[in-house]
Amino acid sequence: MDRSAQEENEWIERSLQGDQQAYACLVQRYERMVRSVVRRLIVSDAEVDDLAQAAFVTAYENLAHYGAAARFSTWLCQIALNKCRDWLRARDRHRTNIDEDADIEQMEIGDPSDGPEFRAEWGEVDSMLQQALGQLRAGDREVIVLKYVEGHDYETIAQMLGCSADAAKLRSLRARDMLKRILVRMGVKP
Amino acid sequence: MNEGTSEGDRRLEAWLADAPRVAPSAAFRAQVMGALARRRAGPVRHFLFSPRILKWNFAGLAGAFAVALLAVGIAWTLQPSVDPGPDAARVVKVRFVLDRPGASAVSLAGDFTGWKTRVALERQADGTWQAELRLAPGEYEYAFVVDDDQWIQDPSATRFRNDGFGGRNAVLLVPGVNGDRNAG
Repeated sequence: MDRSAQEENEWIERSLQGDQQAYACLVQRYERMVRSVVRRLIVSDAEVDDLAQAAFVTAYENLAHYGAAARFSTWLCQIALNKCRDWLRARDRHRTNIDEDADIEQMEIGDPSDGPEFRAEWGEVDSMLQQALGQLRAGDREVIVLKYVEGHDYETIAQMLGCSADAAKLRSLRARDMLKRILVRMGVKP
Repeated sequence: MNEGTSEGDRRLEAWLADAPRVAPSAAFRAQVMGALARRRAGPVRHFLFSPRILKWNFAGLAGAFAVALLAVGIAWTLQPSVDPGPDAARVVKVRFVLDRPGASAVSLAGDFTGWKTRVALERQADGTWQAELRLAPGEYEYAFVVDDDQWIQDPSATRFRNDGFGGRNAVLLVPGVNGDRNAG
């Protein structure tokens, strides 16, 4: 076990004994990961911190159920995924019809054949990616974020999503193709 | 299916890998720890929600099982004989009606479906959509879903409640008596 994992285990043990400072160390280590995943999954900056906070609070309250079978980051990410799923379900339940074409029109920023590197700053590319991610189905968005944004391997993704590594790989590739098609439709050819 | 072999795939993967991350935030960490401190306030809450590891052995487990068995036996012996009464098994037929002749599909979601599953309404010759449900007496929030993605209030409902997301759900009160009742 490397030093980082050993340190993490100590923080978990101390947190279980009620040491909040130890849990603060875990929050500090993983807040970027959790907030980044949440931001990409819910495609809404306004709710990111609230959902990420809820994930950390739930993790703390269920820390005694954390098993060493998975890494803490994997377990925490699973909790964040569930928070996002709940939020998306609630949002979709109340969402009225959205005219997606209107949004696509606003994203047109130049000649697609030039490629985005010639006509858009990185902020714009990121904005387009975020827009395209928002048009994916939630399940496809999850695998894209976990595999290509966060860089998890298929085994870890399989643990988080409760499927086999082969299924995780298949879903990742399929979702990537879907994302590419959406970007092309938006006028961006990767 | 190819795995990242085309130039376009590689570029897309690079965009995603290079996508900006959320910046670290001390304010966020303070917010989380503040939320935990608030939730831990009070001895009862602390007792109920603080994480803890329970240590056990087979003797203790057997003792706990015996106590639980004894408690169930006592409860079973002492339970009163309850007559469920005439209202217990009652359900009320409720007809949901939406006048939307241009729609291609209409369904219904509400407290009674757990909001996740929907009940399909049937198109009638007069252009309305209807479904009949059998509901136990109580108060239910519901909404119609037109063409799979348009959530609309029941235009003929008389009671509404804020849904917490800036919209309103219709509220149906099912009385505790037998009989038909129309909604919509």
